[in-house]
Amino acid sequence: MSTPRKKSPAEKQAPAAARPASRPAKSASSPLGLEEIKALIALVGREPFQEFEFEAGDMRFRIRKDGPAPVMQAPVAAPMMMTAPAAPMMQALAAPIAAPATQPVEDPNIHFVTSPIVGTFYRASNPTATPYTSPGDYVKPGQTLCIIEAMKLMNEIESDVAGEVIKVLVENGTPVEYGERLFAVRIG
Amino acid sequence: MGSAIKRKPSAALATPIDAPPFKKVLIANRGEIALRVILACKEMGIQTVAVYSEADRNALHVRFADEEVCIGPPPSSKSYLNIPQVIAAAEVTGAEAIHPGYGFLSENAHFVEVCQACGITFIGPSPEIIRKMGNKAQAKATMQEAGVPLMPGSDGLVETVEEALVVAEQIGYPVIVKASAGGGGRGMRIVNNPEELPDLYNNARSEAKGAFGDDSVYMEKYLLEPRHIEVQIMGDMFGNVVHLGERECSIQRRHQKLIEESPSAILAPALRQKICDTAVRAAKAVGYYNAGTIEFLLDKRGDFFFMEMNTRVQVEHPVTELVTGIDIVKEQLRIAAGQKLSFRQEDVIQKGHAIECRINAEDPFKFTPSPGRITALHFPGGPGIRVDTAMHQDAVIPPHYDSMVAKLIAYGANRTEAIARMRRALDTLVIEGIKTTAPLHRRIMDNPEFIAGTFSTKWMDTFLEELKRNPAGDPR
Repeated sequence: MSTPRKKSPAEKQAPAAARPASRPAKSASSPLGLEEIKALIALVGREPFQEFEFEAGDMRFRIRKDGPAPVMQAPVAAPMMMTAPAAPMMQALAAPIAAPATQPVEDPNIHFVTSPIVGTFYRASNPTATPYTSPGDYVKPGQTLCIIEAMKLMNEIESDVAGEVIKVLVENGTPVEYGERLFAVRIG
Repeated sequence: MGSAIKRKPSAALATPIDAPPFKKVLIANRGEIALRVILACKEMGIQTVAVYSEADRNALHVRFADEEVCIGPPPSSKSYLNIPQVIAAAEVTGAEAIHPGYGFLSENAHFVEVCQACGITFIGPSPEIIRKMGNKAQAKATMQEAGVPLMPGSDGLVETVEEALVVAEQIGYPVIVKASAGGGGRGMRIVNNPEELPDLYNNARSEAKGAFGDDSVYMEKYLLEPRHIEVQIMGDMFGNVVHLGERECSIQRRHQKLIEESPSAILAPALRQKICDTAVRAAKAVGYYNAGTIEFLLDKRGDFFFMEMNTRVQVEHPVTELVTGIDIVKEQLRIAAGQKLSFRQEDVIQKGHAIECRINAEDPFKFTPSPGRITALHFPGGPGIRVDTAMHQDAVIPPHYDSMVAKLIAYGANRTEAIARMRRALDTLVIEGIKTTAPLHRRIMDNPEFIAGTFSTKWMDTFLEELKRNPAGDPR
């Protein structure tokens, strides 16, 4: 992590390229009330677009559909936003599992997804998006787990096994080398 | 959590003596040359990044670099030759420049273009020059324009006996008829006079037909006892080009150099001057910059002909460094950073004599590869001995790469002293666990012809025959 990294122009371009479905909306009007936000979430759920961004004054939020159910997340400068209901549960799950994961070498049921390339590790398609996967998630072979940026290209790294992600071994935004362990997955 | 790309405590460098030309350089190579570049960087206060394949995890270039990045599995096509991986390693570590060493990506024009597109300085010449010199026909045409003598030969294929007679008359006997699909000496005939030409020409064609299914042949002048003489040149981006004298590399087997020396034992000062001036003219003609080598074949009569240009640092650069006192790798780094050559032609003086023996992990007399683990290792020292190597006790020589274990270089006030030092260096060299070519070098150092300097590029073949007939001696 201490390795310094050159500022890549693509880092700034990437989010825009990575979410063609987004519809940022800007308004100068006053912040919305809770009821209005609820209505918006319901609206986004019905409409065919994937993401909804809203910015007004120092308030900003984004609604993104992740899979079948619309999920909402709390980004920067939006302390009033509700957290995704699943999050506390996932943390609770991750905590006890993290302990055995520190010495998983002997466990044949733990599979390590390694990096096929050198580059910079990103857990999500853009800085504010939900990570592709988090501890507690069940993943399938071929499912995208993360992105590794190399030579200005975003390379999606797929799972090679089915199982439960029990630990993310690399911090978001740090360089990884060939063969470096990225995720610990309990096969099953 | 955290990255496996480590920065070592040693990265906190002492204040450099001069302003370093770069802050951080990635070395896209392995083995002794990767280490050689790291040593130059250390002296200049430049941070280093090593890249390595899984087979080289414990290699010294990885250990002595400030940062290290694993870039792939053992096969070089997936690691050291993998351009995206090398570039990504430079990007994640913030290296400003890449030194390619020799081999691997060092003469890959496409790689240089990718470096440029990514804002990384390639330590070597421009992609245009590399491309021009890498294409044999284009290189020859360029050299001809610059007035560099080329090997006289037919302009393309020779299709009839009549045509062959005319061409042979033009280029002068003896000539050699060669199969254009050829190799390994088949479809090849040496012709000494017009009387024997028709038969030999037809023989070559039918042999080529049988061996390669293609009977097209071309003709070249046949050199009597040719010597391989090459000239080290260096140029900057301001059009300054100088030579660092010649190297004699005639001791070779199947075009692989075994022993190199500088200066050549047989070049008279006037001929040396002529060859070196020709090399500078050739380099200037292509607008060459950074380190390069122009190879010539020199015949018995003192005629020399352009063979090829190598657009990189050579394996045998140390012999030139020892006799000129110029650090070629450090100069490469300065030139790549846009600095002017730090010396002029009149500052380059060849002093003394240097010989290099390439010690390979091979059976010394059968040349079969001998990879494996080094169980005991001692390198010679003492006055005038330099060892360029990346070997260490318990090092494993992987089967994936070349077989060079070390370059043993002896320097003396004259050739006699250099040979004497090489002998005692070979006598005090210990490499156990694998076979090496050291015993072969020791035999060569005792050979009267080698000592007299009377050898050509064909000498090694006759020497090996002689060894077969008389295997006695001292094959340690």
